[in-house]
Amino acid sequence: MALEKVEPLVTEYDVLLGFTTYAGPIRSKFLIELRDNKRITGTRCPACHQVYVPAKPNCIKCQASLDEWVNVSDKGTLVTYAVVRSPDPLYPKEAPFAYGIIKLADADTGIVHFLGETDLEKIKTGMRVQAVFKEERTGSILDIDYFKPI
Amino acid sequence: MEEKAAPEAIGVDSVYRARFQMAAGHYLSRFYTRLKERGEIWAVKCPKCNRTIIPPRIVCGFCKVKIEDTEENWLKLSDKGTVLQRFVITDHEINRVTKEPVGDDNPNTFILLDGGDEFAIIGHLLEEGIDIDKVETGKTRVQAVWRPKEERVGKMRDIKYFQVIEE
Repeated sequence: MALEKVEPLVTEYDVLLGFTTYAGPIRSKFLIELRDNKRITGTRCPACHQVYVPAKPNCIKCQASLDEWVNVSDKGTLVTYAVVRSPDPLYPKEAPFAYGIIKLADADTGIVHFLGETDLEKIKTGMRVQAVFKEERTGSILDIDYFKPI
Repeated sequence: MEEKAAPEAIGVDSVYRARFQMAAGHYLSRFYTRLKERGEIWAVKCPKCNRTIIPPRIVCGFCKVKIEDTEENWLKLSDKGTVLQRFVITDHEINRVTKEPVGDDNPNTFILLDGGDEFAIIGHLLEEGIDIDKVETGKTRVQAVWRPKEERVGKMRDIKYFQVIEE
């Protein structure tokens, strides 16, 4: 007797894993400055004088250890941006929202962050933006709430 | 010289998400379809060593022979069995993303099902709130409590849990 036919079954998985990594001494100090003093800091390379924001432990050009700290302005220029319209539970903000790379004055590298207090259609590369800090800060890059146009 | 205090260690929280599908394959598809539609637990038998293999698979892990998908190689097991081992959950892991406890409150158990040999073992849950001291390994008899047919989805959870029975 033949066995009954069966439909091939497929199982769906949705794995959500949370984990915490140590930021390291340099990045920890950067996040502590954000949290405690609402100050954005960077590290300067002693050899090529490149200023990294957010602070990095090593220069990517000369591999030098960076321990010279500089305070940078909370104002900068929008280098590029993207608008996110489809929601995802993993996003820290409700869609639609915009984020971009912001090059702060005195810094040589850009910081990736959200853009706020603006019409999504009115965002333009090259516009001047300023950091807006959260009231309750926890020692995370999200202690900056977003950058607003000025 | 001024002593430099070590900076406070800051943790960066991250989330990893993986969404994927996995095919059950022909034998497990038959197993879960029969679980769902008939409310029966089926295993396969190795044609060479005759042992019970559950969940069903295409090759006997001992003899390495192929088990053909034929009527005589499938074996219906009873939904009654004997408790082999039981585990009480005292502490739940908390999922760091959803902040919800992982897993059930029910004690876990391994059950030797009737109708097969000593390999006819499945892992499942016992009733929630059961007095675990009265569950004796190797002695206590249990029976599956099935979900109503319309609620079954073709997964092991189509059996709600195993209930202690007197025999």
